[in-house]
Amino acid sequence: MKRQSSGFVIGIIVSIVLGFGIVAGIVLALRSSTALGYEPQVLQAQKTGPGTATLNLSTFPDSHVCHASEGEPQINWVTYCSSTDASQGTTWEVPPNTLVTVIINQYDSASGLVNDYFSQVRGTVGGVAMYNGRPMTKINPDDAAHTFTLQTTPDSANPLFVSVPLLGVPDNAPNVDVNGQSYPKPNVISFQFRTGAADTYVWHCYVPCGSDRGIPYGFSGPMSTTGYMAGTVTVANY
Amino acid sequence: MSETTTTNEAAVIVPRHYTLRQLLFPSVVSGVVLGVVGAVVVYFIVRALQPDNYDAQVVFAYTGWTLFFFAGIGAFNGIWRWGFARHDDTLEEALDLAGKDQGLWRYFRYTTDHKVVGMQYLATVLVLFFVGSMGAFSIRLEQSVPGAIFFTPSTYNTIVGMHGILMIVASIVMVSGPFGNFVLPIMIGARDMAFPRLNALSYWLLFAAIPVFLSTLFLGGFPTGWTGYAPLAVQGLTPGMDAYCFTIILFAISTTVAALNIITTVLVLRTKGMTLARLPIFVWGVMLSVFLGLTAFPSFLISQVMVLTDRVFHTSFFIAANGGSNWLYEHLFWFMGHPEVYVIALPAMAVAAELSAVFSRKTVFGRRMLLGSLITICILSVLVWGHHLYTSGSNTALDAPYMLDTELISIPTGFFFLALVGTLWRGRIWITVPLLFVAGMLVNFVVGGITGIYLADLPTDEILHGGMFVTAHFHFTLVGSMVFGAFAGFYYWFPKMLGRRLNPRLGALHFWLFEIGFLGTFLSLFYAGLQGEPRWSANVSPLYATANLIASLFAILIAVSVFVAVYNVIISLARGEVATADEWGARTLEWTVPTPVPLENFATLPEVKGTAYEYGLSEPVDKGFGLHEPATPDTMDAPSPQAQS
Amino acid sequence: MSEANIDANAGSVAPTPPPPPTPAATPASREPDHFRRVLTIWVVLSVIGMVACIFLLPYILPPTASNLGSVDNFTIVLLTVLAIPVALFVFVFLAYSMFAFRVRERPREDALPLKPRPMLQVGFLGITSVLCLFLIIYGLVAYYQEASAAPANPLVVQVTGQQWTWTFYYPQYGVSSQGQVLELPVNRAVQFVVTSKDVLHGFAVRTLGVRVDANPGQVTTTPYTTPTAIGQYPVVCVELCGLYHSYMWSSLKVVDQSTFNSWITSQGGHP
Repeated sequence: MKRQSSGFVIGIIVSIVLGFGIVAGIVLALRSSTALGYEPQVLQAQKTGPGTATLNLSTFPDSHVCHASEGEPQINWVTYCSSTDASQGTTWEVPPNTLVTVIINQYDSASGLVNDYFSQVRGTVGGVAMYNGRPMTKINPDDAAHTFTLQTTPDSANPLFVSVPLLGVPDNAPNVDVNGQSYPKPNVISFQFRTGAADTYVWHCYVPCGSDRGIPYGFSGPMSTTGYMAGTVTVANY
Repeated sequence: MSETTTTNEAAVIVPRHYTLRQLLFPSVVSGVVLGVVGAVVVYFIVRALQPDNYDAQVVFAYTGWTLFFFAGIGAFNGIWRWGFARHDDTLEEALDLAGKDQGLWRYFRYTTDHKVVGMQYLATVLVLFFVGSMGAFSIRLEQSVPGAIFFTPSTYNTIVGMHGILMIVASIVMVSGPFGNFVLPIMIGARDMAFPRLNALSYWLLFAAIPVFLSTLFLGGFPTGWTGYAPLAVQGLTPGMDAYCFTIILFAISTTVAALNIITTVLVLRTKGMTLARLPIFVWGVMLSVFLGLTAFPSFLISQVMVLTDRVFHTSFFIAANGGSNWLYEHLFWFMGHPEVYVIALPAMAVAAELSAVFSRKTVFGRRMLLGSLITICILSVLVWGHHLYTSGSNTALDAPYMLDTELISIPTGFFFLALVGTLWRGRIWITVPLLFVAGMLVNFVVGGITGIYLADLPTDEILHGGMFVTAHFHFTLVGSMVFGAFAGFYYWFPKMLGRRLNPRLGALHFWLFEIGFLGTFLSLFYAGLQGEPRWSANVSPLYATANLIASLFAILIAVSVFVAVYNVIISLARGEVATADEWGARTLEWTVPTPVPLENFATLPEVKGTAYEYGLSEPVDKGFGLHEPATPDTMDAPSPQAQS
Repeated sequence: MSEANIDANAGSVAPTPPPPPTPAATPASREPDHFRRVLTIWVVLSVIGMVACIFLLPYILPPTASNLGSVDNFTIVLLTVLAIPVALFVFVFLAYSMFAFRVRERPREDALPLKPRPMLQVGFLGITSVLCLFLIIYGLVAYYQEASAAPANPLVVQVTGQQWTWTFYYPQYGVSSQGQVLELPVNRAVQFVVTSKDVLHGFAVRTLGVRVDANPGQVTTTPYTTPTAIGQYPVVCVELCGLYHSYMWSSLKVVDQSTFNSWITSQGGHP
């Protein structure tokens, strides 16, 4: 048996270091691949006072407004965007122990719910949401274009569940212009909910709006992609 | 008849008989170039015809890649010649196809020599394991803390799927590919496999599948994990899923071709005196495994073809809304999925049995019992797939028969343990690195096999299915047992295949780091599974955070063991001790040929008069190391002593 | 000479005592009785292991809150206790062999061959078959007991799995669940009727001992299970269903009957 030279031991150490370097490189490369999945930049709710904040969102029938650089098929996907600056709006941050007001401009036509559970407004202050100024507790499931549904992550100590169906625009709605794109006049839906301590939540739309092809395709595409119809909500101080 | 190769040949870069152009065309270089060209051309044609159907564009591009790759590497040359040439292959042409005088280049061409194919498989398996382990370390990194912090959930799902399928593919071929190709024909006293060109085809199909699979990284990944369950597989609107399906199709064809080759070789090309009763256990293990694969993999193939037709042509095999059923997919998949783990297991178990005899210098304890148990496992394993479907809601009336059959497999497995423990008992145990891996395999297989009982039992499966308990169980069996068995074979046959000794201290270090890291990681995951942690968790709930953190810390040891092994291989190839032809004193035929093995293996085919396990039954001799004279290059020209009665 | 020269007859030596030891072997009188030693170690460790298992395993397993869950936990303890001697058989013999019979370098001689006596093989087959049969019968009995129980006045909960949440509906009361909470009364048998709206999901409530896939276009049911302890327990998805599979979660709240009734009333149902 050859006796171990110091070069031998150095070789082992170098291999181990190099090996972990390769692991780190692969991790970084996977993280940087937006094709595999990405989290858009954080959209922070605007603080409007001590203990209050507002989140301004829009839902569009295509991605020209806030995913303008995408190619096919993503450019035709329905999406949530930020209303204030046409940036991407699916990773939200809201302050803890706050009354959050959410205002959604809903530009998309109805696809219809497959689960009537989501036709009811749940978890908001007063159990209502304002639809173009009218308070309602539920809508017709067939008239839903999207939902705003915030849900608790497993075994969280601060459960929160907010679900509001978003009314679809009628077929004969007049057109408006948003950033050079033409969309139907939106329904404005607003509601409020309270956050507790700092925690993480996920949100998702529950209308099969991802595709016209029917079940289960309606739940794929934008419905399965962060940045479009799914994202995370972080309750944290800022 | 054939020239013995000299040690100089391996070092020649461009052998003088060949120009560079002759070596490059056809070779893997021309194959890849032509394949890429073909893929791009087909892609643009299909895109012009079907601009909205991304799945069609991608799947046809893959088809173009495959066909043009094989044209470029010269796979169709034989068929062309058969159809249009005026004469059959001459001996010179056949030897040329077998890589004679091509030096290292023969590994990069469509070479038919089984030893070349075996080396190609070995290199590919090691690369697949390395890349797959990168996925494993990424998974453990993500699961070390709650929340999807390091990767997005979408990226994580793709990583899990890639880790799974890369490791499954690597495990299926890890013993039958390198050693089933390189060693098996020599072990039965043959000069090559029955179908040398199909042998090359089986390898290059696996090679061609790799770029197809890796393209998923650029096409959005795939969300289903390695099981590829429809309807989730059909649902995705980005084409990353098609890469997975097409890879499986190529892989299933590759294994089918290889299976036919191995079975025919073993049945037809055994040398004189090598009856089926005298066949080494390793050969039995590989042959039973490929019989099983031949039965099972067509089901996998058809399930992926159906997923692709659902995706590309919008059929509805698995879409309930249009009359299909996801249970169809589950049955097709698991009809493959269960025998598949025995395809992985049987060769590794056979390797362990071989090595236990060699390193205890003792005949196998109950050889016929052992072979009977392997055959029983092979037969029973076809009938148990329903245990993956206990909680699927489908055909609950069959749950009881499936449970009966699944639990019955534990009986022949018990005989396997009895045979190996009995072989080691009272042997002269030479603790080498291969034997360490055999011991590790036995320990891990006990845990893996016993935890399988928990999952086979209906009441406990109710609470354990789909949780980390299942993950830990199959890692204990597939990795802790079968990969360990493959590593035992690797350390055992490396000196014969590559002519160098692997450093035993590094080998022992590799083993201990791997075993300790492996036990720590997966015992922690058993605990997490008992607590109820679900599988495929990008976001680990805080309830299981401690167990997952401990598992990830132990996984660091596994990573270190991988890098140590890579270092060992590199320095051994570069500066390792030269190995002797009879490295371990074993008695199977591959140790009677010189190292490096000549092109046609034997100068004269041997005649066999007994089994390879008759240690202690010949007169004990004090003739130095080993009980027979190792054949050296100098004595190859003389008639082999085996030929004399 | 290689094995090719060995007379084939040597391979069929009858299972009688091995040939007399060569001069290099240890004289029989000085050799310790390895077999008795290893058996002793095995028996002692097995007893210790089984006893430790019976006492310690319940601390490792999560608490159960249902009749089915108790059976499942008991089954796990039983299987582990039975497994300990089986596992130790391999571990002890293997470890003992590696220590007692090892040689320091490449052996110069072979070991004496051992062949299993037919009685050993038959006995091994018998013992493993009995063990296997016991496990099968036990499992089948436990399974059929839980599958066939038809309690009086069971609660039925319709579970809908969707990417990526569970929604619950109580058809007997016409009431849906609130948020991600599945509320159940204690000591009342419940059966879950499960389906999916899109892809495969796995509805699993470990503490209740139930788990069934949610299939699109199909309805599957769990066996009847009865919650026995008040508390809060997780409901998870155990079949990979896409992006947020690991976030698909609900909270099972087992409450007393009156709390449950007032909850039903508050949702607009009639208890």
